Amino acid sequence: MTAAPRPPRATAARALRMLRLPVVLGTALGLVLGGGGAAYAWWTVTTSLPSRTASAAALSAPTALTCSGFLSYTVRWTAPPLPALPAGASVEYLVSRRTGTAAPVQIGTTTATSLTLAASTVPNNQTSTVTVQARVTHGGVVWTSDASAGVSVQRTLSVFVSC
Amino acid sequence: MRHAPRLVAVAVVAFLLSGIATAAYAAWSASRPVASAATIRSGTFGLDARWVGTPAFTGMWPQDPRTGVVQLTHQGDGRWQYQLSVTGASLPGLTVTLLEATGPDVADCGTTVVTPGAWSTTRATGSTAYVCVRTTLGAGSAPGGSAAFTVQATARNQPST
Repeated sequence: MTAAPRPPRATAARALRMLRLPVVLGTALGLVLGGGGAAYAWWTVTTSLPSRTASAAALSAPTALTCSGFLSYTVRWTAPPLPALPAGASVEYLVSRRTGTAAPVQIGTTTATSLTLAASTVPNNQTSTVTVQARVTHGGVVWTSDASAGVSVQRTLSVFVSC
Repeated sequence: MRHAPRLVAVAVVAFLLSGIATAAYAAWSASRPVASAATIRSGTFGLDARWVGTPAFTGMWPQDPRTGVVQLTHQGDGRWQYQLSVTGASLPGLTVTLLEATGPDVADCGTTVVTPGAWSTTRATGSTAYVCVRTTLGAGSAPGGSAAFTVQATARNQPST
């Protein structure tokens, strides 16, 4: 038994029905996308300006540390070169000593480039290394330089200091 | 039932004919050429963005801002808007602030912040806008660091009034 071939008109109608759904879906999609596109139908151009470099001022450690002493000792240093400071900024120097493997201990501050310290600021019968750091303060923000190269200080018989 | 398609066809033809008949009695219409021919053309759109001068953002101390001015000039047709963004400002404690300005000098900088990524108000065709770029090192900053940053300007057109 063989099925009779469908008449051409029925085949065309069936093809039309099959075509209808995709066409409807496509039209809806087109409207949605087209409508969305219309909302963004601006021309847009983007340009990058040449890059600029933002940098913080350098704050070097004081240099050329020297020391002299007998019953007390005086440490002197050369201030690091600083770019022009803003109005209101302050510079001071922190003098610290390190003895053995202990953490550094701050033993004085000054705005000058020398500081005289009592013998008692270094431990008796030990050798300490004294260093200086520069510190800039402006607008409540504090920057501190690295420590300078150190100078050795020895305290003996409790009252005598030699560098 | 076999004659149904034919009946439908006859009905459709009758409907069409009646429609044509209606069209034949449509309102009168007349056409006239416009006296002066109008030209329709596509527009152009562009943006010229540049630094005013060569601003330096180097050697900053804490809370010691540096300011440069960006000039944005619209080219082409229609009104326009702009937005700015800043990338690469990765230096610890560095803040980059965009401010509206009334002119190309640093003294023209105002206090109104231009929010990165936000569109400006709509501006006139061919107008120029100025925006100040202010860098500041605050808490968390340290001496000696540096970073390159880039300001990117984007413009879009708006319909003419």
